[in-house]
Amino acid sequence: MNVIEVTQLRKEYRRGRRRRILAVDGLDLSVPKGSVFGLLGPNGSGKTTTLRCLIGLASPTSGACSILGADCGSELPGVIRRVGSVVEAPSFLESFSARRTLQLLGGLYEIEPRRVEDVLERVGLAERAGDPVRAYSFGMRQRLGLAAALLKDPEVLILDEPTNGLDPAGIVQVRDLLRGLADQGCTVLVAGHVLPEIEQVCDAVAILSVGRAVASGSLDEVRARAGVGGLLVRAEPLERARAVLAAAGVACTLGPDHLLVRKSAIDGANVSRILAEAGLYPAEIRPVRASLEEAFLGLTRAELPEEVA
Amino acid sequence: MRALLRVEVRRLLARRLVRVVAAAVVAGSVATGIAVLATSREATPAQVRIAEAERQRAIEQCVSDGFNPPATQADAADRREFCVNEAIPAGQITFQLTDVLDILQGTDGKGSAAPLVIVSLLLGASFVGAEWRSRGLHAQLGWEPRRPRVAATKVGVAAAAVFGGALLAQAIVAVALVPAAILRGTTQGVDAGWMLSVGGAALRVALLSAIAGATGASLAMIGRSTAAALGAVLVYGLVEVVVRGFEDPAWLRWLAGENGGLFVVADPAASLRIGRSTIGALIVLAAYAFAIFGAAIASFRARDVS
Repeated sequence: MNVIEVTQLRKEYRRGRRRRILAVDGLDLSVPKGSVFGLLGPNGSGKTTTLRCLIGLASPTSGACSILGADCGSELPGVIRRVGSVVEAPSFLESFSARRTLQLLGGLYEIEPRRVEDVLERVGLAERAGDPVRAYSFGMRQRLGLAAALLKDPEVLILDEPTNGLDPAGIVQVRDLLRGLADQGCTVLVAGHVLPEIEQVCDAVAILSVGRAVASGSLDEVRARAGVGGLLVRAEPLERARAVLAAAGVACTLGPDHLLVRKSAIDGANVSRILAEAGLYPAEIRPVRASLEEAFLGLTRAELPEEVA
Repeated sequence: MRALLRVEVRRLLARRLVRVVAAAVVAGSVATGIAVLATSREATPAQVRIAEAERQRAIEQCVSDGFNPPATQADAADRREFCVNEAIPAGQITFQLTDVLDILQGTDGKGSAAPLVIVSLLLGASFVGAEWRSRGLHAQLGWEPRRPRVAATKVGVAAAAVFGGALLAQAIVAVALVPAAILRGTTQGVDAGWMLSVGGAALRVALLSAIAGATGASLAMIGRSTAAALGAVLVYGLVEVVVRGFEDPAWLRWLAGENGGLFVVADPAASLRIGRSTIGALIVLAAYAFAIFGAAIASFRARDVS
């Protein structure tokens, strides 16, 4: 069951009378229940706009999005109690303390004060909960935003770059928190571009570029879609092995002590057969898994205009 | 809805600006009471009679001015009016508690009405403007996405708070002046009728403050900042100054300032001047406030929150 559905979402911003900026262009997205789903993309790719449409801060120009089966345009009030969110840098009244900020928000649903203390503890803000927000570092504000999102004990959590400004310990804490929430059945949609973080915590991702999803699915599926990674082949002599493979129509690149065969080109068994038929017996053939970062760069570069890429 | 209302009231009361204004009102009122007490002196009936006789002599001298005597009877009447009201105003022999009515109603800068209305406008604008500036409204919409409800609650709470605050401020001003009247002045003339007049004036000033607060909050909701709201008020103020310059009653009767002044003083002479009753003035002001409030709701509902 998909908890978040985005269908052909399109969002244009008007700048002046004639100029229009296309932020999201026909985006489709499905986030299954209980998963941690990463929304990746370079700056300006439409991640935050998508999140803003989901929580009702922006209206789609066309298309639809829904959370927990409720249309985000008209039925959001019915499910908002079950949705926690932090979109863009979290901001609150500077003169209020974290505790007062959360008490005021919690007051909307008559959430008990004890719960406020619990989430402050959970995000590591308990000791500074009485200080005014103006005295907080960016990382502490980020923690407060996260606390506000967790205060509802949400079934769906929508976060925009939640580890921005956090120290390494804070990053690990957030990562563990997100994983823990997902294990408890909470669905997490997290936008960002700190790829190692996303890679460690997400079950699936969608990569956005200029407002469109250029790849979507599990991490392995996205890597495969990017066509990065491949087969590492060690065979001596290396130059001859490359020539044999090239003659068989298999593109490969020469490394210091190995050949790298593009993943999409051929599978390991065939590489082994081609080389053996030429009297070359490979010492090692193994798949090389590309990082999400390589996949991300491969996919987003391909979508950019040439001079930018 | 009740939870939202309760939260907004708590949010408003927790604001530093509200606390600063409240403290300033209390401190200002106490200081005024002390100053009046310190500068007032008790006057015996004989002293009052002597002072009044001196004033009458000065008025007669002014009317009959030896260098430029009035030529006709009409000139003499005009001259007398000028002397009584402008040249030789009534000197205060001793502080009278009945003067509190003038203090509350004064819209010419000498009384508390104009400052209260201006402060109410500022508080209303700041209450909503600060939410936009801090982007706290974004967080709130993540909890309550029904924007008309959020906007209406904020504007309503701003109006109700300044209404209550204005009533309280006027009560504090009046109470602060009581010691001066009892110890160094007089409470003569303080009766049920006077109490009713003072109560009515205070209520009208508080109502006008509520309208100003709601208008400030609505303008800040449209302009998405306190500065935009105050800028709009400033521009309107300039327009009003220009229109007043024409002295055309057909235009004057539609000015917010003119209607506000009429509503506070509830003076039949002012009513005649612009051809509108006190209730008529209230209706015009309320209509303006509702129009701006409607525009605020429509704008907040239609535009993206970014």
